[in-house]
Amino acid sequence: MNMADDGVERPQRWLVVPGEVITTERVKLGPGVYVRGGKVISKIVGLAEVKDGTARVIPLEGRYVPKPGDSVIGIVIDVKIPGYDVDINSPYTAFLPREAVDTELEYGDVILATVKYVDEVKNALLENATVLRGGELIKIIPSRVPRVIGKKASMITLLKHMTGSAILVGANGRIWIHGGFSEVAKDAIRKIEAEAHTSGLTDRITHFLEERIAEAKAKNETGESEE
Amino acid sequence: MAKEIRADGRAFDELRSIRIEAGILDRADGSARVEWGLDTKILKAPAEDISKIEELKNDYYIKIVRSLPGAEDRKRVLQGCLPEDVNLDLEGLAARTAGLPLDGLFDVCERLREAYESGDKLSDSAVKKIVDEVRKGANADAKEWIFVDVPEKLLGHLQELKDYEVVGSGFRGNVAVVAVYGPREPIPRHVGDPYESIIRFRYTMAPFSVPERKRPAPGRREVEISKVCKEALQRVVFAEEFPMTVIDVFAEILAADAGTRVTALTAAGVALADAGIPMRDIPAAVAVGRAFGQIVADLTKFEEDAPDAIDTPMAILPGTEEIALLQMDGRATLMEMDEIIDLGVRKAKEVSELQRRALKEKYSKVVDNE
Repeated sequence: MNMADDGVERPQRWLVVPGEVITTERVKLGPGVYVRGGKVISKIVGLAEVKDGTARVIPLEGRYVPKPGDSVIGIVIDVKIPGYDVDINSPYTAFLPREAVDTELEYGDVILATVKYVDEVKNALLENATVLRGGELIKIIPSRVPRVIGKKASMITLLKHMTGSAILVGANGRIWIHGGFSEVAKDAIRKIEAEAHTSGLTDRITHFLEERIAEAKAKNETGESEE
Repeated sequence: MAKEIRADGRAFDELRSIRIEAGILDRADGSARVEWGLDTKILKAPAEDISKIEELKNDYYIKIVRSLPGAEDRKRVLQGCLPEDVNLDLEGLAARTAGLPLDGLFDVCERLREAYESGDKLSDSAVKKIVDEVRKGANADAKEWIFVDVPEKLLGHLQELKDYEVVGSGFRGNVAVVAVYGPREPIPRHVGDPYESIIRFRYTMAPFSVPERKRPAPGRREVEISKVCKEALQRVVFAEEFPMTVIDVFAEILAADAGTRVTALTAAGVALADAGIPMRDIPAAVAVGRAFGQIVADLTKFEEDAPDAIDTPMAILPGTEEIALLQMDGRATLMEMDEIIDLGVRKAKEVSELQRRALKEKYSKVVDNE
């Protein structure tokens, strides 16, 4: 995996499993690693990377754990007097105070919100909530979200641009898609999820989108002419 | 009975063949299947060689797949088929009909009854004549076959089995499927610990996993195995990263042939990693011990039942050689114990290598699909 997206040469990334030694050099510790006997060791299944003096493992699996500043897509699961309990696709539930949202919410409402604070047992407090109406919600493995967004949001921009859909990606693995070629967008996101650990993904997705959109357009035209 | 090879043809420190696959279940967060056992060949042998093969069965781990009725069975058949008032020595007749297939046995009964009903006294010589005739007829008409399940590695060693035709292949060993869910909300809530994630390990054995039906309800054995496996895994995962959650591990044994707990634990290690749960290392497990006077790795049921057997299931973290699980059944000297643990650590590292490869294979598969 020497060559990454866009054919740009990047520092090497390789697949590691828990307990595997990443480096014996002195480096800063990023996420997904720990030190044992002077060696930096992977905690998880993922792609190891030693870059700018930091060793890290980019996870490929795992549940979402809320972190302040994350933008998440949640579903209201309880309405209480001071606010709402929100399911954020995580072992932990989040709470959205009533004053943090303009409108009244109901059970089942889908919201986009920011994690404001996480307490010591990881229960999250949300703010800046907006209700998402219409569209579709799909779920992917949360650790593969960065790949859907891409470097400097390149992948998500590509998706939005080519499919014409409104797409919102939550850090918790929920993705909201509205309008445009939403079926194509969904398939493309599934493809990104399945191949998150491979390189040259942007090129492949561009190709995939071009093909599928041309197909969809052709289908639409014949459908219209028949009418 | 010190021999050059083991009862299944393996070297003393050789593992059975182990196949591991990660991520086999879509609905679980992480999953793995481990097939841990002997690859076997099915041989076709003429029925009259049965006594020869029965004898081999005492020393080697072979299995007769379709067998002829034994002396007890024959006695029961005779008792059921002959008229009640016939005055015959059933024990003697059962012994005399040895090697006859069931059909032949029915023939004997039929002809004895005919003779009895037509007023024959059924003297010893008359009975002998009938049995001999049937035996001759049975051999002439259709040849009766038996099938012998022999470990692949044993085939080359047994001259007695050389001439038989190989008609198929099989597998005898353990199969475990493990599913991991979590970390997830603890239900009931009160089992949650505000400082760390709790592992719940449930070991179950399918009723059809052993020759005699196993009662499906979890008994003392299942509770014990679940407990020791849970404790082995609890210190391996970084539990403190997920306070107030549980990680559910379900281990299902579909086939069993000694060493199911190490099979389950090996699979659980892979499944936990596949679920993306942070761990210090992937625990690798193996059973070592002593059988027939030799220190051996990875005992089979045959060896576990040896009169001098020691069975020591163990799990280690291969990176540091820390022991996560160590149990023992049998008596060993201190020197033997040292030898057993050394061998266990060495063999567990081999298992570990297979676990790592299985996990990586899961991702290489997606790339190949391109």
